[in-house]
Amino acid sequence: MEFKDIKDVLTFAAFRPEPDNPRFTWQQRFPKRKSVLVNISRGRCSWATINRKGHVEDTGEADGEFVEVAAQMGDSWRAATEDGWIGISLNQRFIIGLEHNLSRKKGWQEELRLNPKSILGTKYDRTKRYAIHHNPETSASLVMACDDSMVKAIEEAMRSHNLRPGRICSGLFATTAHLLNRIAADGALKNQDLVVATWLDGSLCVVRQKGGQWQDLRCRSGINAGDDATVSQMIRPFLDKAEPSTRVLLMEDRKSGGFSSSYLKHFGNLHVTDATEEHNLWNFLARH
Amino acid sequence: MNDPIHDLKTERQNVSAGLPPAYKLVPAAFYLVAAASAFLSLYFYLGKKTYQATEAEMRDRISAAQAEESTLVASQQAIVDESKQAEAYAKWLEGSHPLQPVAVAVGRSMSKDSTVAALTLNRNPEIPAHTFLQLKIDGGGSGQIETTLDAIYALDYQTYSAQQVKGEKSTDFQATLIHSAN
Repeated sequence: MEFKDIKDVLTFAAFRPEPDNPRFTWQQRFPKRKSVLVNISRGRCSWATINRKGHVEDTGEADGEFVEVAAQMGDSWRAATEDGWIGISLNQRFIIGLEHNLSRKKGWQEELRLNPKSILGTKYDRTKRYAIHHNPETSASLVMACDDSMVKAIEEAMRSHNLRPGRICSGLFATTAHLLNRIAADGALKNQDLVVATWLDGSLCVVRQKGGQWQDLRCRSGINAGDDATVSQMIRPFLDKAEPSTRVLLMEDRKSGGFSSSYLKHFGNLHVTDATEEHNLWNFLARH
Repeated sequence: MNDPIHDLKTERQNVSAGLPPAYKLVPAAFYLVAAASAFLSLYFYLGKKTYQATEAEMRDRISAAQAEESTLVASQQAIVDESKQAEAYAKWLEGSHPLQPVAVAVGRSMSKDSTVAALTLNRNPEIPAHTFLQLKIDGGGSGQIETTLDAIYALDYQTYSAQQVKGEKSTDFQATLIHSAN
């Protein structure tokens, strides 16, 4: 037994989960500790420092690939954390799709990490890493796949700057799953005809939910600013199937983000409810 | 409800979930014992200080009492010495009391021509019943000695080892008197 072990017991640190344990929320892993959250988009990175109270203290953004930005900001990020632990939101080179009848046997989350083929079957691609969000009432599931090489490159870049990944997730997928969870938990909302749109710094995910069922999903990352054509092309199928009673639920990464200021017009006359809160992405990642 | 957050990072082996919450009793007990130790140390320290103060006060009181005792013992010794002296006087008075009639009888036995020049009555310390009599009479001669001895015999004394030396004008007589009751 080393002195550090004794110190950890006496400071109660030994009773907290390790910072990179994915089975615990960010708050449980970093109670009263500072941390940094980074969102990696294509050609652009944004970040937020989380103070000891778990609140967003400062935000920043820079153009460039993660490797370049990390080289410039690595020391600052490290100084803003206790031990260099950083939470990553991966916002490029991923795709979200809608699947049905995936295995939901007990311990499927662990199985998805260790042996994703047993969950995904023939849809499994060894060059991808996966995340799944199940509809609690139907057989539908959202499946997110991202490049394994991308994750490894980020981990390598962080290691080279003495940073440690506490978590690497897809911010857009997590935000979408969170919004769908909120809808499922709301008795008034869950049976309505909804178009659920989530936007995260150039990435858009749109889900059609009707009568509690997920009927259609389209996702695209790396949308350039002002690329109306791409956004319009994504939204058009939902508008075509929309009824007068269809509502749009929108959640962006931050209040008055890029979508509501540039692309909201594409929903036409549909009633849009914006569920976005201030520092929406950072608060969400820091709480969960 | 599904957990909305997932994790894509390469998982490290043996990631700890932390010790079971019940084990928090260990550091809690440590802090409790440490606090109790500090409290008891303070308590015993203050107790020791109080004891030392009391001990010093008691030492002062003992010193004062011993000084007072010495004064009282000295006073008592003075009284005892005076008492012994008084007892000695009393014994002397008591011891001389039986000899007073002898001195009175010797004095009254003198005729008009005779005077007592010297009279000594010494009791033998080793044999208190024996009183050594030395008498010097001016004038009167042997007749006066006989008269005086008769007066002493009348007091139930007897004489032993009597010696009489007749001088030109005086007569020396010495003898050991023993009371007939002895």
